[in-house]
Amino acid sequence: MQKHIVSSYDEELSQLKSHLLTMGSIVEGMLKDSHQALLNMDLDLAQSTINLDTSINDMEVEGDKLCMNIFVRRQPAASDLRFIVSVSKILTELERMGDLSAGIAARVVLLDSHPTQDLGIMPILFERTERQLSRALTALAQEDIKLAMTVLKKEHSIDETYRNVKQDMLSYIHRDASLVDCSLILANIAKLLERIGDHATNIAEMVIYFVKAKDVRHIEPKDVADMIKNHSKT
Amino acid sequence: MPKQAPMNPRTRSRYRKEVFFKGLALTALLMAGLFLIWFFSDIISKGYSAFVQAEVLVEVQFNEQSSSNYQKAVNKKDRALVSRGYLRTLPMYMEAHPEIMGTSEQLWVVAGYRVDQFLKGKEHHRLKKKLQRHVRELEKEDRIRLAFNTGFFLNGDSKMPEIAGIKSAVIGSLLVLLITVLFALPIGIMTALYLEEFAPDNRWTQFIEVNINNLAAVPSILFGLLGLAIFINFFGVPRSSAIAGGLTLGLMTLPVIIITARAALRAVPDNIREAACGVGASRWQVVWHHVLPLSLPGILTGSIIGLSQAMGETAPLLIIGMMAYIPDAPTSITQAATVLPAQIFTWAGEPIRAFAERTAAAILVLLAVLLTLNAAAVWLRKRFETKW
Amino acid sequence: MFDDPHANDLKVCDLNVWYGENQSLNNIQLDIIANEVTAFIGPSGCGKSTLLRCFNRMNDRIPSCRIQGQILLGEQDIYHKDIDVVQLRTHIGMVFQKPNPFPKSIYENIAYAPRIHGLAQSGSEMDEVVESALQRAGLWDEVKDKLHQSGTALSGGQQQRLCIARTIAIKPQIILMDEPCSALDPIATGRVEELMDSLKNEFTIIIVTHSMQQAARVSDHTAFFYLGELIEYGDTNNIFTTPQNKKTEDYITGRFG
Repeated sequence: MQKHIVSSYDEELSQLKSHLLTMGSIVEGMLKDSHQALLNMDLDLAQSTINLDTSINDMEVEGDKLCMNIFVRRQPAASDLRFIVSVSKILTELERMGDLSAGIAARVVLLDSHPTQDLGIMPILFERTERQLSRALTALAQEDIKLAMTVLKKEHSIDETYRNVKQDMLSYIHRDASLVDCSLILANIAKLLERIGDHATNIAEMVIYFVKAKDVRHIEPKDVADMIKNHSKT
Repeated sequence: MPKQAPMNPRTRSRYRKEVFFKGLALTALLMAGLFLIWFFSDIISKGYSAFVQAEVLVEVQFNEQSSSNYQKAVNKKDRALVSRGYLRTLPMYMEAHPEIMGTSEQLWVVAGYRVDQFLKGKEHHRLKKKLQRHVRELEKEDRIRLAFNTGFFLNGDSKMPEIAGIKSAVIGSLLVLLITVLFALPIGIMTALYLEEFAPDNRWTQFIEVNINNLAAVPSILFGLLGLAIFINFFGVPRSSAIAGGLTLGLMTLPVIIITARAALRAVPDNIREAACGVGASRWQVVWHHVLPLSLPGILTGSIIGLSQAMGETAPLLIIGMMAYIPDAPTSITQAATVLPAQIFTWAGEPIRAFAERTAAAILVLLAVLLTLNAAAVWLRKRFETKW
Repeated sequence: MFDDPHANDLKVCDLNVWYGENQSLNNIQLDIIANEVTAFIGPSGCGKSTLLRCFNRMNDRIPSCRIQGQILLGEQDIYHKDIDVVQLRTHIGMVFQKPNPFPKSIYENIAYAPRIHGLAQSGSEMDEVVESALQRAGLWDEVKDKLHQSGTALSGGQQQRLCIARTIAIKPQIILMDEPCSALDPIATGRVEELMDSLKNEFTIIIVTHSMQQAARVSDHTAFFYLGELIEYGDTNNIFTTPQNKKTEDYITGRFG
């Protein structure tokens, strides 16, 4: 995109974006770490992931301040306006994802006092969620609509995997009463992952919104594809 | 206070230059002021004495003898002191007032110019030694005095300086000015209005504009030739008349009025025109209701200055024969007339020295009139100035 | 002349305008919506003021201006040879960039136009016209005690509202505003904007403005002009959040190079 006449405006926008991406990469790391902590029952790693949540919270507040300043000083319009509104929302999404990742780590700590059991397809859910988040963040960084569309399309596969994990856990509970606690915690973790996936989808939707000026929330992915195709900038 | 830093040489030379130019400008101003003071003191010192006039108290006889020979009205001894111009009027006076026949009266009568000049202490009065002695005697008897010179304002021109006055010239000037105003003002203002508000901006109007500006710079004597050719030779307007003079001066003033009126019209901000247009005023209404009233003070100021210029003008009138000897004030615009500056010009050429002070006095009157006109222009501007 | 019920609709059809050799408007097509505020935005020299001045034929004052195409007020082409410009301007009023009250009294400023158009007799009828115009312009309370003082003695903002009052006194259908707030401070600007909002129930308002924020604040529809062309025209909210055209986008985000 062309530069603004006022170059400090451009600097503020790029500062905001890099802030957002830094925050995104930290959240991404938290998710990966909580995954590792679960696989290896690494309680130290789990604890450090939990600790990271406060810095994510601080970054959200900091990011909101940056947005507010741009609103006050620049009165953004059109693409800038959409970008900043989206950033403000993505900040919230990331903060929620940070919370959720910390939640996973906390549940890993909880698991420690319970007999371990087979994780089943849980790692697949983890991987899918991680990949989804990574796609969403890359789409954000590169304003890549194609990638954002992929995020939207893959959402149902995470939902499906989550349902499978939940099914697995239920069957564990039925089989062995001693595994109730452990299975419930794992089902809980799966639920958190599913929600992280939802937030990643939200980020992708915001990317489409600020790049393509189309609000695609609450719309089926295939319809979204049509909307974007019909609209081309002159 | 901080210690003064040594002045930069460039700054110092700049200051020096400023002081130099300021000094130069002040000197110029001072010189102009001095010339003005010199001019005025010279004119006033020469002219003030014309506002008083020597009069002698004599016994005037109204009888048959004096009516047939006016010399006999005053006794022989005093007769030489009395103005012949005065005595000449007696028979006519007696004819008009037959009831005074056979009486005599002690009257203060105008003295001859030699007596007048002698009494005012002017050299070259050429008063005979015998008469000089008689004047001294009369002075002792309080029978001779310097009184306010009403004749200067109430008489027309004369070959005898003691009874020469500016009345006919003043009336001539007023008539000429009247004609000039009636002729030049409406035409000038209408032309300016047309050029400024209505005329399309094309080659033709630009041509007219350039020529009007050129006309303002044409030597005034050429307007006299133009007046002679158009008004006198072509239209047959009587020569030397107020109407010929007025029209000629009008012709001369026209470009000045047009130019100043256009400047005044242009000074009305365009947004007033837009405002009036915007509420649906027609072009004519825009001009008549808004532009003209707002520019009128400016137009009048310019016109008055143009007219006062015309009033002081002599050269074109010379050409159309207004440099005439006019003892009686004109009563109509077609009669031969003269104007103040022409009168001044005529008197200045008179060989009799007594005319010198009258010339200066007439100049003072003319200056007073012109200054009054200009003051009126300034007052008009201040009074009706609009702020926007 | 303009008494059909749709006379409030202003429609521009294939309008081309030249100043001398320069074409300053290029095939403009535009429907102004009645009883709304329409804003014209665009960089200097884009033709927005030119178009505005076409609506009440103010461009007639410029000899080199040549116009092709139609502007329909209702069914009537305002450039038709039978149209009386003076009459037209009572239907389409105008407020200018610099407040330009007549250097006359406040009362006379309002009363002038109704008088020359014979809309009201002098006396109590005219008093009513003046009061109602000033009331609607939100100026009455500020000036009711000094109606016979000069209009030029008012503050800039008051002068501009006086000009608006002067315009609405002749009851036009459409009010054109050419950067009406460019000489005013923000408070006075706010008052004028508030006034526009209250007037749009009765009048169709078209405003040319250099301030995009102002366009965003006051208008219902916005038209963006660039180099004599109408680039984009649409709902103001859409123009300022999701413009369809790259040029519009660049202009309103401050990216114009």
